[in-house]
Amino acid sequence: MSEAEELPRSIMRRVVKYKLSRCSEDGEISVSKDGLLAFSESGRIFIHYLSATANDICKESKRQIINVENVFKALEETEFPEFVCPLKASLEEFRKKNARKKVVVSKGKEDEPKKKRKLEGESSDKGEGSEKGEDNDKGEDSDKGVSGDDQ
Amino acid sequence: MVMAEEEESGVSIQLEFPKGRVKKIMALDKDVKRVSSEALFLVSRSTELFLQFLAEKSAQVAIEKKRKTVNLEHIREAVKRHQPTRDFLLDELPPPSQPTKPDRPTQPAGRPKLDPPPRGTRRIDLFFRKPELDDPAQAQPPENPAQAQPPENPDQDQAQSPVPVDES
Repeated sequence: MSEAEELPRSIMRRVVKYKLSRCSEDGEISVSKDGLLAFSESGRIFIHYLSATANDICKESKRQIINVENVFKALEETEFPEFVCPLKASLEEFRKKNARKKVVVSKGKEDEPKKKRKLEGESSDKGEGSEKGEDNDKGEDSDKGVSGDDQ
Repeated sequence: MVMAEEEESGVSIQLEFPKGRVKKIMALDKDVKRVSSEALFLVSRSTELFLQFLAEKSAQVAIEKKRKTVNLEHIREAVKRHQPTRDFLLDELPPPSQPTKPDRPTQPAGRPKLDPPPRGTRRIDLFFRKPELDDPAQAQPPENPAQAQPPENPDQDQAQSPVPVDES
């Protein structure tokens, strides 16, 4: 299996050890090498399982893009309803965070024309270079190729 | 260790797993075409919650067995105990490691090891055996190679000389 197909081991170790440190009272529990490998494999299989279930639900509702509701229904279907509440809370925070980012980006775009005019007034040579970073503020999802529409 | 940044509401939302990697894993399934950014966030966060859940259950098994290290056997046991997880994960986990030592030591090929004879008796085949010296370098091969061979008659192995009787 190539490295692109598995979850990062350092992060895996951190997530697992964080939880294990809270499980035992008398001392921290460690994880063996084969245990860590099994956790990594389990995470990968869970992603496949959940996304396949969500995709089936998505197809049933005759849609092309897997959305939030499909994932929540998939969690109910796969008998992990205990995840729904913490996920809803996380999703709210995620939406707030994205909304704040959009405000910052839109403010930046308003200020850009003023800066451009200033630079163009100073010298035409330097003005060409200022347009270099114009299209960089597309939001965090654009570089990952994730479709942003929820339908 | 602080895992994620806490917001005012106390909900940690900073993802541990990179979205790009999660999306690549999802894309390995040819049926999955497109995913919204929020759905991708949920899948990634769900995976975190699932791994924490599995770690907790595995730790419980390890504690029950009085172990300080969670290994593959503990994870397999934790998966077996939780029906929804068992359904999709048990067959996919690596197989349990085989015990390195066999249950009983295997005997080397050759003469079977027999029980020692009763006191006051000696085995007839001792006559045919090479004398065992402390220094193996001193051991010389017998003049007649036929003497080193065990007797052809299998009954001879079992035969024992009579116990010497004091006639006086």
